[in-house]
Amino acid sequence: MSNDAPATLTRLLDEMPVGQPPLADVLASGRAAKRRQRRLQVGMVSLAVLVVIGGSFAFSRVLGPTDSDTLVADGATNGNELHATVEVDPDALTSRELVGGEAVWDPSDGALLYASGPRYSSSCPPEPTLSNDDGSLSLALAYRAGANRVCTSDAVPVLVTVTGLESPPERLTVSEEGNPSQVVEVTVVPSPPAVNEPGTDTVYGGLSCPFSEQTRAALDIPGPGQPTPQEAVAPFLGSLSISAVHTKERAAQVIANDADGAAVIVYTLTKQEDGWWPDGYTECRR
Amino acid sequence: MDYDGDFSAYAAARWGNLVRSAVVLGCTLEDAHDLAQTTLLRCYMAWGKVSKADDRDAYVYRILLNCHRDSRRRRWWGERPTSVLPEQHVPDSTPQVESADAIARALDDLSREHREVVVLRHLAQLSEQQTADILRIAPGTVKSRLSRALAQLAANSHIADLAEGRPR
Repeated sequence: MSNDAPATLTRLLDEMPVGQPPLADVLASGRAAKRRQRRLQVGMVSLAVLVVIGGSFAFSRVLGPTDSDTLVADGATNGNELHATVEVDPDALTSRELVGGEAVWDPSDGALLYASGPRYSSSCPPEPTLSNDDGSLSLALAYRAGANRVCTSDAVPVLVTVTGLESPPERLTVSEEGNPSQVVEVTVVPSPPAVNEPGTDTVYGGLSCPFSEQTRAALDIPGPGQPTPQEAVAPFLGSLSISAVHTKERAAQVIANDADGAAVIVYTLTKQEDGWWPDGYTECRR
Repeated sequence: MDYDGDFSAYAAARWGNLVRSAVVLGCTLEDAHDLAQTTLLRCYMAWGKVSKADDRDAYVYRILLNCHRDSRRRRWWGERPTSVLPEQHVPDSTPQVESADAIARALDDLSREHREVVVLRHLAQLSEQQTADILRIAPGTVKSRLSRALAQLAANSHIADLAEGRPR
């Protein structure tokens, strides 16, 4: 048994030749491993970025604008109080019976509407820019410069509404994203026929009483039709006398007065194949 | 000193002790070289941390022990493919191998845990506390393991023969 075992072991180990350290190999391998590590890190970061972008894209696809959603881009205003908004709503064009590249003036709203020719991503509508130099109205639609957004890959037309115009322009110069400028003729939409919802003081059809004192009734008679409107209403006149007859195409009105000369009843008639038929009447309450 | 230069200086100074430690842990001389090289390679990869460690040697010997445990746990990946063939003419290393083999036989009775304590306390010259931290055991356990290991070495006939210069 030896009490000097550690010292003996240490001496043996010291005597054991260990050779030169392979520093060149270690450094070369270490540098190569570091390069691999860096490439792996770059790859992982790229992958993470792709996953984030892909996730955002998928998210925007899932929760992006639907048919019932309307995405409105911020408007553009120039110094002449003109204002433009871009609306991404597929139903907006169809409800207004607009086709791509068409410009119309809507007198009811006092607005100029333009349906884009090219189509745009529904999640990234273009931004409008207006100019009105020397009475020539120009509209430019372009994606926001420098914007780094994730947009859906769908393509929908957009509706641009320009307000602040005092009168409808004859032409609109349009410059859209990636397309040459073009001049579009502005069509004026005819005003819808006014709905005569008479006020309380309105006198209907020349009646002598206010609207609030008038009553209406429909007539359902066996016929046949009569050759003239006067003959058609003759059975209902009684003591009244016809004061006026207005005929337009297949419609007619017959106004009858009482003994005092006041118009108290108006018959409405329609011309059928066999002649004139009274549809009803409006009269003053008596 | 730059990154590579600092590392190279440290690696050159510690190479011998790392190889000897690997032999004490039970490696053949060739495996000891590979283990020391792998340890230094890992040191190089993490040299930023190693160089800033409170005790560099403790950090490096922890790497050495981890590499050694890994090599026993699974297939040995310490040898890397290289474009230059490693088989080159070398001088006859039989005496060195015999020497390492004699040490290995002398340490044959020691368990892995005892060998690790001997390496850290005697070769790396680490304190009991540092050894305990690396091995994640209590300092008292370090003492008892080292005591048993030395007792086993003292009773080892190979060591006695080597100490008295008898044929191995």
